[in-house]
Amino acid sequence: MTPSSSQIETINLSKTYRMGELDVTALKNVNLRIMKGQFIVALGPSGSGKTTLLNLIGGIDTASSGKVLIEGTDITSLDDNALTRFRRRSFGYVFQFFNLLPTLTALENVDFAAELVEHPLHSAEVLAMVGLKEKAVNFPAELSGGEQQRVAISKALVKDPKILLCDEPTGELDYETGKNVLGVIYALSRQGGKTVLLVTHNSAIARMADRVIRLNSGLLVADELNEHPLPPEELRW
Amino acid sequence: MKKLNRLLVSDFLAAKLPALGIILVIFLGVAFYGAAYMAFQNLKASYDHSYELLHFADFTVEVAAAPTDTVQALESVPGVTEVSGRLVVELPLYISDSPGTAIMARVISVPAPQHPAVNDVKLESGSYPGSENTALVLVEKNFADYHRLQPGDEIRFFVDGSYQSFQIAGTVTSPEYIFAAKSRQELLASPETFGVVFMPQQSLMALTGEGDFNQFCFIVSDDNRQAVASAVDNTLSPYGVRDTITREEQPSNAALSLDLQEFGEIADVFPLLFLFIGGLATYALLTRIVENQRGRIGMMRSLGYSRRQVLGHYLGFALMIGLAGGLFGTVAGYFLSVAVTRLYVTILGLPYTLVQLHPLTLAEGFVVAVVFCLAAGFLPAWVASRLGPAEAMRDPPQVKGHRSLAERVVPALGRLPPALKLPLRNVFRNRNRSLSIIAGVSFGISLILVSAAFIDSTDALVELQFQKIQRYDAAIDFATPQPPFLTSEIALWEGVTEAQPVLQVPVQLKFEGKSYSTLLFGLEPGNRLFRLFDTSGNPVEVSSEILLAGSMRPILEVRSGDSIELTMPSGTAQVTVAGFVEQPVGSASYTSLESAQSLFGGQDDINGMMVSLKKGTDIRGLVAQELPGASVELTSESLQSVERLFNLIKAIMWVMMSFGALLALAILFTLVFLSITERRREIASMRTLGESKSRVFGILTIEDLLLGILGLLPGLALGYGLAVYFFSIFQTDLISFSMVIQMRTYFLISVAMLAIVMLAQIPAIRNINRIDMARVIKEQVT
Repeated sequence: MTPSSSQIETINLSKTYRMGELDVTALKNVNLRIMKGQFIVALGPSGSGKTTLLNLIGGIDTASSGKVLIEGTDITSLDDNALTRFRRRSFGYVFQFFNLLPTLTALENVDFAAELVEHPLHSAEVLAMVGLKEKAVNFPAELSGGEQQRVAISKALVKDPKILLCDEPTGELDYETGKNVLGVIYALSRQGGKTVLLVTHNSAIARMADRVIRLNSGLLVADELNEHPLPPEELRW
Repeated sequence: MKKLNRLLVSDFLAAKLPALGIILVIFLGVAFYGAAYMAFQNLKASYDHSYELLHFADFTVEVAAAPTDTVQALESVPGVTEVSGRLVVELPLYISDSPGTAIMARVISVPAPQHPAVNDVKLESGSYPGSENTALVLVEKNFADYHRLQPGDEIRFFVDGSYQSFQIAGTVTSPEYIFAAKSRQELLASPETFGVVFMPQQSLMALTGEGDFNQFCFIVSDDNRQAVASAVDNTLSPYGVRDTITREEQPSNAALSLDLQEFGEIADVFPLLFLFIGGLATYALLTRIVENQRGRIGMMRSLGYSRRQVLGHYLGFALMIGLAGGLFGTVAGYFLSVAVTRLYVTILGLPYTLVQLHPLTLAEGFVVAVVFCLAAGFLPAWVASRLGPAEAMRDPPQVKGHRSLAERVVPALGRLPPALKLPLRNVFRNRNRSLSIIAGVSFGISLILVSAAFIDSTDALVELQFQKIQRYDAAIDFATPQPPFLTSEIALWEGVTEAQPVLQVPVQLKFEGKSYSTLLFGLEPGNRLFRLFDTSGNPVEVSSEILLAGSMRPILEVRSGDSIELTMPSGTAQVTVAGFVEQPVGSASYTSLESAQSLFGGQDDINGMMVSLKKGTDIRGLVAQELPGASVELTSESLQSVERLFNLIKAIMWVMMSFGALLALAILFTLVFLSITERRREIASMRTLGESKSRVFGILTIEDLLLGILGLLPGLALGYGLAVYFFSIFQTDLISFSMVIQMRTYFLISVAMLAIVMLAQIPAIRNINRIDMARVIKEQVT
């Protein structure tokens, strides 16, 4: 990949779901190029296709047509094993529901992810980075929602992925906690150089992005650059 | 259909796979109960019916000899309802078209053309002898079938040095020989060497020259049977009463009763294991469903559905499982019971068979299944009904994680990688589910182990009897006592490598008011062809004292060193008990040949010989040529006969083992399925992280294998306990069935159970393959 080429590229990406008797188009001919290190927020109402786009880019859903190129590799053509390996190396996911393993401590959850790659970051350091050094031995049920989400971010981060995919990461959190979590993600993008694609229906969050894309009814309806991204602590909603 | 009922049906269909697994378990339990208990009832009814129609004796008294008119005197004894006198002798029998050695036939007189008033026979083929032809006999069916004897065939008896021919008039079944045992000591007599023949009284008396009866068979009024027996004994005392055998002691009936008792016990215990497991699984499934449907419960409650309606709705689910399992199980149980009964009666050749529908038994199985399921479903249904609308719509509390007990006990386990810690902790995560899996594995194993114990023990019994104790190749039974020098003559026969003399005498042993009739064997001390072992398995030698079978110890309540009274046809004597020996089948006593000869009238006669042979030696041919009237029992044939009988037991045990394996598989399948359903988000989360399917599958499998291993030990312990209980039924003087479980059996069962655990992972593989990560990852936490 050359420095000027895109890290993520979608070409005529479409997804149609079969819902009983009906075919529902969740995403239609989306063409998108995302550069390395960009912080992108995808906005749209429920059912707009933003999560579908994130899932297709992250290889946890399969496209009906079109391509997803990650650093030049068309992941839509990969078989399940290859796609699993690709996910393992390339992506870190943060979801609305934290999806932690309840019987492992915070540190063990992070370790669990770290085991998957050859050169992971140091789990304890990653936890410390998100401010959870003291909570490393706590089980998820002993953590607040924000803390759980920060463990989830650590889990995504410990593999040192190139791309961080976040789906409504503040959806389950209160205002202050949500901002804290966004702060962590923002720092990863700015200081760690990670490419971040964050999906949300909260338009206020878009103000921290380098670039904002908007989806509606499966179509990419807007793609805007934000010249002056705000740090999360300055966001209000 | 009401909306709520429709909802119930759709829920049931949505959970069809785990529900079917539980229905299968309930089905197996009810079917097992129906099959075993109704087979028990059918067999019992068939025995009772046969005994009633054929006037099976309440007791039989053996005397030395009593005039035939003694019957009239006995008829007048108060309480005696029916009495018949008969002459019973054992004679060498030859089957016409198979020349060779004699078969020892028990010939029983019948008052032809009348049927005996007691211990009648049922004609199975041919005709009952009339009074005109004196050379007709009836042959017992087991024996006739074995030798393919039919009416019209000829048989010969060897009496006083000459052969007397008789024609078979018919084949019969007898209540005394449903299980054709020679005696309590020779329960597993082979039809190759032993058979029962019924001969008109006049003919038998003419053949043997005996004019008296030596047995009287009684049917008495139910009240005070003991007093009637005593009065009968008094009446017969002038004629030398040798033994009184009650109906309960009668060898065939005693053997059948043992078998019946086992059926009853199995029918009582095992189905409960199935129903208990089915109940546990119903509880686990319904708990899961209630957790999944909290939102719906909230909706129902906010709409105005009452707690009672919610309770009824979820109990309806448990009821459907109980009804389905109970109904199919009941139907299958009925047909299985008919099949099992028919198999048994065909093998045993019962005179009369009663295969009936036992509605109460069927209803019992069905009702118990439904009650078990309802009871199991009550708690989750009650929990559902107690949820308030708002509470129900909230997310359930998060699963609490904690370090496992194993990690606390063995801190080093805390250093395992998370992928191994995860299954270790998940074992303790959902106690109900884990306990259900452990219980399923345990109960399945226990059922398999009990069955395997029977198989191992029959093998051990055969090995003990035919390899350790009975080391001769053939036993020759002389028709009449023979001089001792015959031993050296037989030892010189071509093909005979060793010969050891035997004197076998019927005796009655008495000790402090208790008595027991048995056989006394006089053996040469140090002989290598019939070895004796004490109850600890150490070899012992015969001496001038008496060795008793271990099973006699509780009957006579006698100890080593006690002096017991020994009554023989020749008189009585006091002998000292030297000890007790292992004897798997029957209960005989042993002394030195010299001592037996001295007790038996002082003559140095012998009446049997044990021989070891070179391969291919035709001992029957040699005996037929040299010793007319003598019969030969080949160890190989006895072994075959015993193995035939045990093969039936083994077949039943294999069926039981399959039930155990199926139980474990069904329950594991259900619970693993539930476990996967419960953790779909975790699995999806692992997969999005980049965990491969095989690694996720590995993590889940390790967890179930750990649970399987946790179930092994209690399962083996429970199985062992149950086996001990079942084997206690077989600790009688008829059969002393020592429980033996080989180490390899424990190992194989454990491996098989873990293989079943692996097999039960199939839903896990399917689920992991099919999981829709994108959808599941967004689902609400449940």
